[in-house]
Amino acid sequence: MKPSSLKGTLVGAMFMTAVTALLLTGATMTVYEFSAYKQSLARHLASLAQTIAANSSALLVYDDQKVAQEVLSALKSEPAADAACFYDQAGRLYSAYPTNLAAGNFPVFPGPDGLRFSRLYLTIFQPVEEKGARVGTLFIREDLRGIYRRLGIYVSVVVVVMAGSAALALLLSTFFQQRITRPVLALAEVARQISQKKDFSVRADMGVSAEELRLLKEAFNEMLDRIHQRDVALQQAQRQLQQYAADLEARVTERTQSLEETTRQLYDFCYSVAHDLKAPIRAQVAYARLLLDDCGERLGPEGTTYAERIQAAGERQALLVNDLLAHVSLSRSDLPMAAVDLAETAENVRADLRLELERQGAAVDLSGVRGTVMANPASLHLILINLLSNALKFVPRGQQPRVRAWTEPRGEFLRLWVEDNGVGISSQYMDKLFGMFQRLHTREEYPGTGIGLALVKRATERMQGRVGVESQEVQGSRFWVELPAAAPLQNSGTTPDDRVEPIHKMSV
Amino acid sequence: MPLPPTHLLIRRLTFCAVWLLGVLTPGSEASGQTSREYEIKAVLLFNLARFVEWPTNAFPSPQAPLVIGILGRDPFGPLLDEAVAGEVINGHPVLVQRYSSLAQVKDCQILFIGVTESGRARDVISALKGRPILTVSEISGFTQQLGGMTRFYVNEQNKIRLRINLQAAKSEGLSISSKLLQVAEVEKASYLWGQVHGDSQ
Repeated sequence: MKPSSLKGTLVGAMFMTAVTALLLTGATMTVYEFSAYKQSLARHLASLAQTIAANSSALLVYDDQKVAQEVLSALKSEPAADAACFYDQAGRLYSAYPTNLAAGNFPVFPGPDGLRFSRLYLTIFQPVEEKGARVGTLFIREDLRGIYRRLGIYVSVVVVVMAGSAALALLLSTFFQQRITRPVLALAEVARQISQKKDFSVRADMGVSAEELRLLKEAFNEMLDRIHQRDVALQQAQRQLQQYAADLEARVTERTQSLEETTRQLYDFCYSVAHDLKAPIRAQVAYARLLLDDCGERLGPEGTTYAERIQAAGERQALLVNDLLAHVSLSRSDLPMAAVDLAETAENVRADLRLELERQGAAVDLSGVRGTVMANPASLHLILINLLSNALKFVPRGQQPRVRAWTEPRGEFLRLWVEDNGVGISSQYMDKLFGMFQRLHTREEYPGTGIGLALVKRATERMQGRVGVESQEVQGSRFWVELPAAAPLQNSGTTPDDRVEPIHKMSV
Repeated sequence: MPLPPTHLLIRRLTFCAVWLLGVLTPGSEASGQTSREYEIKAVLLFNLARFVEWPTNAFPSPQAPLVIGILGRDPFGPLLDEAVAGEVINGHPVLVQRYSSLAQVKDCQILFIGVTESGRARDVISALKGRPILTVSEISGFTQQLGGMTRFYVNEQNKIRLRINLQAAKSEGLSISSKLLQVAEVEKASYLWGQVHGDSQ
């Protein structure tokens, strides 16, 4: 349904009300007038008939046609009475008026006494009595065409008056509806402006005639006041919040700066300590070797053992200090990034580890490694060396280490897998694996500093990468490293997922 | 105009035929014609009681009968008795009494004086002076020279008509309805004046 305008609805309602009232009034008045006129006609005819009948007893009794004619001629003053006659005591038609009227206009015998309306006529049979004795009957017929004519005139007058009144009602309703619609439309206009300009300081200030509209306007303005207040409060709160956020930001920045400074100082301290430790350790190892080489006989078997121990501890200490230095370096220095070919780096690492590989008789398959990543070449080298070393290291004694590495694309990243046939990692240690100095085995079982995987993690993270492991105890581990891909890479074609079912998955 | 139902037509035709028979048959059934005339006259006589108001002293009591007396030869036979049978006017049952002499006339409201009394009519009327009795007769000159109150006569159209001497009725305290006067011939005032004048002598 098409929504109609307030104005149209109001005008329509008022107009229809007026027209309905007019119609009802007109119809009622017409019906009332008609029936009232009929009744008055009937009363008039009845009294006329009574009067004539009361004076006609003698002429009927004494059978005087002439007088009868005279009496009936009195009806000349009654133009509507177009036929009248007497019936004698025996019910015979006695005298007719007017005499020239066709006999068919008079009933042959008197009908029942009283008035009767038919479509065209009002008729009456009036008994003629004298001293209680009935001596005859008077019949008078009145033509109703006059009343119909009169009714027609009446109806036309009513219709004309109604048309005039309806036009006036339309005019008045058009005038009065403005008193309602003008304020409402003004209110709507204010609301529209507000919703367009979002300015809640606007107020409705039109003149209103009706009390309800005044209330509406006041309520509307009050609502606007509230909204305005809330708006202001909201803006204040927002400003405050922004202030807080800015303050917080500043404080965080400040704190971060101070933390970074502290960390940097700490790294600097670590670095200088580790660096300064290198010389004495090297001296310690060198002197221990000199002691063994030059004074071996003099030390005796016991002294030789001690010196050997000093040398081993020193060498281990040197390794530790080296790893520490590497870790600290990774953390404190900028890592310039470049597109690095993974296959080349992997081959370089294999070359670096050639001696160890040959010693262990290990089988290393790097055929699945391809593609280019955005990385710091030295750090990537460090990562690969650590992962491969680890893969070779944790193999049960007497077993040939088999290592396989390959790459697969992961969205914008390239994932490098390194799979070994080592002892694997128990699930309870998975979350500790990449921490500093976390060793899962005794130094005697598998030598190492406990920094390797921490280095891997640190290096990967500084290059916006991720590191993780899937492992199944006894059956080996699969480490992975994800780094941003430098160029689109063709699918390597080989996925190891169908060969090894991982039990634990972990991402660090 | 639609024709009336057949039985009505037949009835009307029959009525016309009977009436024609009565009118066209000359001299025949003179007694039949007479009895028809007196049948009507009996009704008219009795109906006079409806159009005349008597003074209260005319009746011994409110329930007393209204007596129609006949003095002299009775032309009605049983017709009048039939006409008044069971009739009650203004609470008075109507009775018919026949008198052979004036002396017998006592509580009587209408007195019909037969033609046999033509010679004594004047005396009878004078004798009834002071008594509220409506006198009726067929004797010619009854309402004029004789001073009677009402007289039946037959006019040129062969209709039975009334002549009324209003003054005579009034002088006895009788009032005659204007309705009746409308259908009757009222005696001229000039004559009545003379009558009154004559009476006063």
